[in-house]
Amino acid sequence: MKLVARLEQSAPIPLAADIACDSGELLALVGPSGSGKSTILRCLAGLHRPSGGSVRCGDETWFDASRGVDVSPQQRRVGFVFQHYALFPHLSALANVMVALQHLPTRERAAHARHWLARSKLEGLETRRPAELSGGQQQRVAIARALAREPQVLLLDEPFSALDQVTRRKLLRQLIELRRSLAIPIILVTHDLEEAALLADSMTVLHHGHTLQTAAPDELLARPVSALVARLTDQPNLFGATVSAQSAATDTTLIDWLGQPLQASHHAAFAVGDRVCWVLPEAGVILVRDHQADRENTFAATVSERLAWRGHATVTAYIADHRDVALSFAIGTAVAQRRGIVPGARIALQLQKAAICLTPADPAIGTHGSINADPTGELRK
Amino acid sequence: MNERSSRADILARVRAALQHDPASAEERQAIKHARRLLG
Repeated sequence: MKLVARLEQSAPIPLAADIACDSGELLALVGPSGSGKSTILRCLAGLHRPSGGSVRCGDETWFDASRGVDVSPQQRRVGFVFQHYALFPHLSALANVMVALQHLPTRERAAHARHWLARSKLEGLETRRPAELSGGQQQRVAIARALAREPQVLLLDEPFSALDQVTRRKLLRQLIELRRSLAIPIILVTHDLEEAALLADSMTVLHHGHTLQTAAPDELLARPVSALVARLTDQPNLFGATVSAQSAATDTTLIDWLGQPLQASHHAAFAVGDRVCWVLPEAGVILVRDHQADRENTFAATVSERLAWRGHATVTAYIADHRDVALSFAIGTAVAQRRGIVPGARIALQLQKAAICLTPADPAIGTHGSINADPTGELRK
Repeated sequence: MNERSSRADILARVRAALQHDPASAEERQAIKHARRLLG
């Protein structure tokens, strides 16, 4: 079973989105606030009717604007976990799950609800009301209620946003475990890129209701189709440059950056003289030793910041003679310690040719990087 | 005794219900949506 949707509307939130999610696949919708993520989920569930497009699940058409088809929300068999869980406050955990079992004979509902609560590791808490449960327990009741309907599609709207970091990690693991046993399309809305990368098979980046790119998380970070996608996925190493030479034979596109040549693998789409943006994931920046400083794409730099957490250090270093141009990379804290990576340390950085991705130029991205890292304030919630 | 404990039970339930006031409009809307989905 595959969920395929094309959603169009001009107001209240403009939409021009294409969504496709296979059985057993988890698709994450990411994008800044107001990019239409939650509206898309509501359209899929039938809680919001877009002015154009279609929603199909397997052989069924749930919505088709051109044919006037609009199946009601309860007939779509969608499991929906809301950001605030939307549990009925006056009902116990058991009764909340039983509400989703109206299709079963009354005498069977309690047993089924208990089964789903047990699968969510909530045994013993059946009689508690939402107010008597912790945030994490409420979320698990919401997931049990969504799954009890044996839905054809599971939609999760920022299910972790109301939880503290520790509970979040715990529930994230449980969701990873749970999703292995679910052979239905799962769509997760999140503004947390790490959460998306951990859980998702593929990610769709949204901006103003438009789908910009859909790809596996690693692919999306390594090969963004535009500087905007790179910005929305929080890529720190994003700069403007000019194409100075092309050579398919040596698999090289040479770009001029800060007056120095930089080699990328061959990008046939660009011509000599074109303005471009280049993106390099943090993993593509290699800390090299002094005697290796004559390698290709190697720059002298000075460490300006080192942020360490749980054995990993994110290091920011500015390029020699360009104090306003900073590269970011990640290393283990033990390596950082051993190599003396502290603010002020002089280092050599190699920018991996194969990891450099070129995209069309973007007016917001200059040679020195983002002119304004967050021009509309929309990249962060 | 029984009557007192059942009154205490009712009061506890009322307190629990009051504690959960779906304060935000978003939360109220989500509950409305959940009702529609669950039929």
